[in-house]
Amino acid sequence: MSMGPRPRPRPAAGPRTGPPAAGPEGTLVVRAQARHGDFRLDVALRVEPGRLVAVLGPNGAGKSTLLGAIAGTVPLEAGEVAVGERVLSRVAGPDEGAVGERVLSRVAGPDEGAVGERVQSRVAGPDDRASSVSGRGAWSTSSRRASTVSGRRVQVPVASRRVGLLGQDALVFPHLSVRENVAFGLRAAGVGAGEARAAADGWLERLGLPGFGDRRPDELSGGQRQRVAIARALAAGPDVLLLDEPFAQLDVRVAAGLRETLLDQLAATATPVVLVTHDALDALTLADHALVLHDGRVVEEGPPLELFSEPRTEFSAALAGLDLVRGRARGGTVHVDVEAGTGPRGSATLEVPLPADPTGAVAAGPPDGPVVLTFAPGDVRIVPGDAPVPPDGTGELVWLARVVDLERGPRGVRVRTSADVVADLTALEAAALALRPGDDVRLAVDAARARVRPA
Amino acid sequence: MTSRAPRLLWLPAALAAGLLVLPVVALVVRADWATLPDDVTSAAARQALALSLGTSLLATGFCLLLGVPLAVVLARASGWGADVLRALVTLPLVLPPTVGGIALLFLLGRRGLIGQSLDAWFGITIPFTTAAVVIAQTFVAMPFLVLGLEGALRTSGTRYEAVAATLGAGRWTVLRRVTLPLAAPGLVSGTVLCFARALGEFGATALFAGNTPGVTRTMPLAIYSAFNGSGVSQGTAVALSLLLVVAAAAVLLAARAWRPGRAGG
Repeated sequence: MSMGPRPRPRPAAGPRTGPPAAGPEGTLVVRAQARHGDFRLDVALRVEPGRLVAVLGPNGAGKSTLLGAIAGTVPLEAGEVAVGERVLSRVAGPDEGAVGERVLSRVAGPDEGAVGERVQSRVAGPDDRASSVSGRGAWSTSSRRASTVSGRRVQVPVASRRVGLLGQDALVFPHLSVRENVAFGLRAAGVGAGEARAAADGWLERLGLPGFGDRRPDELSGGQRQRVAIARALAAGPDVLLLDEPFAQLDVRVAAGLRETLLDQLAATATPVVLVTHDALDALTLADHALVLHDGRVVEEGPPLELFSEPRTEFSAALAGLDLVRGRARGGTVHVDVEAGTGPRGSATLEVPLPADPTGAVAAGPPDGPVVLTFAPGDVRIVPGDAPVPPDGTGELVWLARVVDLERGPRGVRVRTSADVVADLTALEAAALALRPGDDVRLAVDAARARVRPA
Repeated sequence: MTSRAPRLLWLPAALAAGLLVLPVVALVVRADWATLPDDVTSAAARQALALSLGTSLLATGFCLLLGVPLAVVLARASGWGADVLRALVTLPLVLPPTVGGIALLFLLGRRGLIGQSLDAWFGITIPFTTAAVVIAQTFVAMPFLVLGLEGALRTSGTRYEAVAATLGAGRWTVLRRVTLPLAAPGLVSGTVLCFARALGEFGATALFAGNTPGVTRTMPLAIYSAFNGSGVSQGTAVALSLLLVVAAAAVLLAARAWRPGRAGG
């Protein structure tokens, strides 16, 4: 078998999608509403072949649920997951004619053709449906009957979706040699042992592990195991690859090498990839596009560089190493509500006349409405004491806060305050201030140093 | 890495080892070495040993055939139904084998729950046949296999299975290439325990299958008969016991030597 092409069958024409049409061949299109207990996920995303979309967000934001919805382990409540023409999951939501659907599913069969969108799914015919979910040829045909394709509801089982998943634990099968691990997907698809092993050796070479085929997994380092897992996932010829913090458990240098390899392989295989990560570096080095999830919704998205240079949420600001404060613009002035820490002071409303910003971002004045201010922690000055806030008009943002804790920081000492703002001081400055957790302080930022954008 | 157990443990440990080993030593000491070769190679002894090994192997086979599916189902099932089933499966472990024998008689005996239909419709009578021996052995031995394998399956978890599914493996492929191989150590030790238990089975066999030479008289029953002195000397019983000890030890050693998937583990 040659090194280049993946044993990837062209998907047969599946049940055609309705208006929210899937994009060009091989594009992952997700419009997922799912529920997990009280948690609700409602996310739309689109990944072109060979592109990588990073999904960021705090714990519990819905990242894993999203991956589960694509991988087929989390059922959709409404929406659709499709790769090119191939529908992996589809559930018509309550706003999409659920009543009609209920009637249809009772009537079943021939009457399906009566209503618009269903005409097309009838055209595809039962045979096409079966082959589309079982993947003719290289993919397992054993689970054909397990697919649910009734009316407008589609749920292709995990084993037939051709969605590869790579987590932070490599989960290399401990009872198989490295070669057998990589050959696993091909063997499961019915490819002969010799051919599958040869292909596996090719993948090991491409991932920088030539000659490792006979090793046992417990002889490998963590980085090598993760490389084997990537080789194994790619060798199965997935239509989509999901990466769930694949570098989280590797040390920095190993992770860097692995990112490099992964980028090369993704370019070569033209697979759409969704990467869940906590690491801004992953998004910046790998992703073409990044989403920030919060409470199951996309709250921010864009090219990673843009996202991190102009964050709009506390989460992405923290990832980018910036402080973020929310306010409201009115007539060219920004009013900032800052929780003034614990104690009786409550919050203070500050009116900040913003000077003209050379970048032009503020010069025009932000449109009226909610805004976010971002600034670097190194630009925050700390003034001790709990004296009243000086009057406005000094071109400075000033507010009261309480020191939460001190830790080592990039300039020397990082001070976390109750206002959710961190300040980076040099060790000398910190020593001169003699700060302790619980101290009341005034935080000040030169308004010219702050960037203001609509929230 | 050379951590040592506290010395205080040595005394009870020695007592335990003594309790387990000394009876066998006594057996060896008590043996009449002059007549031993004849006793061991007598027709009755060979017959009993052959019957014991044959029925135990057959019973172990049935345990694997039925017990592996049961263990897989139990390991992956949840809810109170599975808990109840799990408890019921362990019942033969805590029941005295004689109770098991009686229970089997009431189920499969000529006037038993199922046995009477078997007798009336097919003319099949199970009690006091070699089949009854195998059934009794399977009954008492299966829990060892099921519990051992189920524990191993639970320990290995479902994460590898989930990965296998994303690689395109259907449920059968996952079971064959991931689930069972990962649980192989538990499967092997369960099978060994299962075979050993079947080989030593006495109570249920005695009540359900009886003690007919060549048909249902397995080694334990032959030993019991010899010891009770139905025309034979106690020396024969000792000789047969030694033979059983050797056979059991051989099985255990063979199983120790073969550890799947883990060289030198």
